Amino acid sequence: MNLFDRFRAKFHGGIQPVEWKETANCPIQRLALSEQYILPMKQHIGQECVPLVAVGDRVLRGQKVARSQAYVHAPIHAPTSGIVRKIADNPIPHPSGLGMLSLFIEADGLDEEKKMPCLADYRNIDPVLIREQVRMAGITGLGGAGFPAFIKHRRDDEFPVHTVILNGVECEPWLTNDHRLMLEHGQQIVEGLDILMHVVGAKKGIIAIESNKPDAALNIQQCIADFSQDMEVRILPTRYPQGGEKQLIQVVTGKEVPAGKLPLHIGVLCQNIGTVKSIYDAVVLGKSLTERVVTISGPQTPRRGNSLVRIGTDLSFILSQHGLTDLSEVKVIHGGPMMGELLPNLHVPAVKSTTGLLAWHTAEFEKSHEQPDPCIHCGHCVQVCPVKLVPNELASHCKHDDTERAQAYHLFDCIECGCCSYVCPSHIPLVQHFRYAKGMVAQQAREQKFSEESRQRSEAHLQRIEKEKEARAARRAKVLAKQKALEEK
Amino acid sequence: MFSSPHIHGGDSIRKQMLTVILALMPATFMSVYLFGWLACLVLTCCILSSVLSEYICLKLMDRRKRSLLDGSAALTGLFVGLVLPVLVPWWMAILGSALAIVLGKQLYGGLGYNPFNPALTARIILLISFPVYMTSWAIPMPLEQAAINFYDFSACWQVFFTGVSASAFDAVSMATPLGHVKTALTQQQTVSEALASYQYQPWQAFIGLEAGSLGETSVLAILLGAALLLGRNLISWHIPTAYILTVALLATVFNLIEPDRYAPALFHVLAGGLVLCAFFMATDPVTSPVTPIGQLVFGIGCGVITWCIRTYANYPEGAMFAVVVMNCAVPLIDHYCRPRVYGR
Ligand code: SF4
Ligand code: SF4
Repeated sequence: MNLFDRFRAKFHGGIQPVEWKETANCPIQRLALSEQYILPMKQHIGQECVPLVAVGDRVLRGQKVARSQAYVHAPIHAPTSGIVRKIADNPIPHPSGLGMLSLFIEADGLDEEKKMPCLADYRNIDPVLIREQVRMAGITGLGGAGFPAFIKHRRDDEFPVHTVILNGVECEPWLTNDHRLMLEHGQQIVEGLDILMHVVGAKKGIIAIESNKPDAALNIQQCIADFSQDMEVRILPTRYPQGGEKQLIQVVTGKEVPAGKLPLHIGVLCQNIGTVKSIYDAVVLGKSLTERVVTISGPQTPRRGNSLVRIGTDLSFILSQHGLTDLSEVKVIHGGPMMGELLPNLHVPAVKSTTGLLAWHTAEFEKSHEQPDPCIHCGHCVQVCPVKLVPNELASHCKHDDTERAQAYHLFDCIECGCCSYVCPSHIPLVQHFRYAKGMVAQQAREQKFSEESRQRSEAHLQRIEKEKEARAARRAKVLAKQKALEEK
Repeated sequence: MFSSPHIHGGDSIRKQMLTVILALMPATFMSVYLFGWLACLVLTCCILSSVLSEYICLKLMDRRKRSLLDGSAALTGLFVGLVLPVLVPWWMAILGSALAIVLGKQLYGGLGYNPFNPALTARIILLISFPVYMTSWAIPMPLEQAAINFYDFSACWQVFFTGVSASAFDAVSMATPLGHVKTALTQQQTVSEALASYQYQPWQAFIGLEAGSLGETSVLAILLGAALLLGRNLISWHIPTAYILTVALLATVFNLIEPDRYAPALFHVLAGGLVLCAFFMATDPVTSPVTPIGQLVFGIGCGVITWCIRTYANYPEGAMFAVVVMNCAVPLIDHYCRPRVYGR
């Protein structure tokens, strides 16, 4: 990139939080097998799955145990071999603490695996088949959002994808799982990128890595050197939230994704490092998504590190494997500290979007959530917002339940990155206001839909009654007319 | 339930206020250099009165006492002191600060809710109520003509509490450059004649060796403080730059058209409270726009009004009026000057 591009290709605002990447030097370690795994029926954005197995069935690792009929969904696979013991509601890692239909699998310790066919010669295989394999493997975006990956891999003649960007930014503090993957599995990641480029027919592959991971960048560069001419490592200055899809695309290509459009519409496919590694595993090794790398860290964790965790492992089990057994005075964040969620309950399973578990001492944690003061209009939130919103105004509309005005201030363009709250001298929980208002809008929409439907139903009902009445009247008129005719005769 | 983000950058209102107080120190020291003990007395009185008023208000209105410790009251008091002429009597110093806190801030709901800059509000009320006191400018100590020995504590004590008799005002005071030029122009003199009769030197105005409010005279001292504010990102460059450049541009254009009637840009920029207002008053976060474009519009508005008042109105100085007038427009400006949202 020349100087001019560099100037143009920058996202607005952003912050530079302390990194705390203490686990960057901890190699990925396979977590011990647990005795029980719990699989919530929805671990992705889209339709909830329904179980394909019954209580008492024996399942194998990698066997599909749940799916949905809807297009937007990712099937779920058993993380190890064992018996299905129960199908019931169980809490999921979400701040609401709400439950969801889940499969309980008792491990038999054999860990027998069932694989899909290997498509190692992927370059000579129809992209449609590869995409199908990715879909069958249940792969979702592992960066946290959990969008089914195959949907992005559609070939669209109207919008051909020219560039695939691998997101190795990992801008959240503390998290190092993508960093370790790039160090330890560089070759697979580069091949995964090659698969993606083949699937969507892209000419160029860019791996974006922040400057705080020079070792990872070097490793990937070496892997690329022996592999392909069409790939490039792009080292970016460290800045949060550069890993946001839209921000990363802006930085790498200098273009913005138009509102309401997808990266596809400007010819870009953006995929997270962890996701690409699983795509490689699925396509070349025939493995479904049953495990992922999780960073276990935070001041209160005795043995910090990066673990290869089976999906469905109980979080308290994971924490205990890292030396954290007394959970009475700890707060655990699911994800990174900027966008992650505080868990009300630690007896919940790891899901596909579990990027990290960060433990804080309760007192210390509460210190970072001070009582808010009034907004002093300092404008710092405006300066850091990567979407160029005016968070203070937006928050005041949200606070007053003025959802209409909030939407006029582009509430739904907010990516909830948290930069605004991070810099606010008044400690105003801006993001919390935005989430609340978004929830309220959704609620209103649901209610409106419901009342609209019941209105239609009751209208239809009335119409039916009306019609029946008419029909009866017509019948009676006919009978009367007949009688009359008879009488006249 | 705690929502993300779960870490915080560590900024706080208290830190911001203390930094602004620190940034005002060069101007404060300059005022002490110019007006000695009397400056100390005025400033102390203002700060004490303001903190006390804040305390009483918070107590009466049952608001959180925590905000007493955030330093904002002390800062308001310091601001009020710095925009007053040094010859104000003690009760006006107290009254000014109390007005700033009560009328300027607490009546609207406290910190963050006031539409107008509290210090300037107080100053305008005082100016309208007590025009004589508010337009009598003592001759600063470093100048040869100085009539009061400001470095003598007992003399200052006496002046502060008993005041200068109305007849003595002429002897101890002089006009500000702006005031002098304004009077001269009404007497059909040209601008250059007026400046010559004042023995006007731009470098003197830059350093601050001239009559004026306590903290406004020295552009140099204000710029030192402003550098701190800019460096700490407590103000952005938009408002001061737009403000000062607008005044300079208007002055230059009109000065080129009719040099006898319109003072040159350099004079305007260095004179009066322009630089103080541009860096410290117009940038007051609570009463200025948050969006960059809004800040530019705000600055330009301030500049135009300042220049117009200085040139056409009865008052020689218009900076504080300009800022307060533009304060009214802030919600409107913020609404219409939102940045273009990503991808839209
Ligand atoms: S950062 Fe906080 S105090 Fe400053 S304008 Fe934004 S919401 Fe208000
Ligand atoms: S959370 Fe939303 S409003 Fe706040 S900085 Fe991020 S995108 Fe902007």
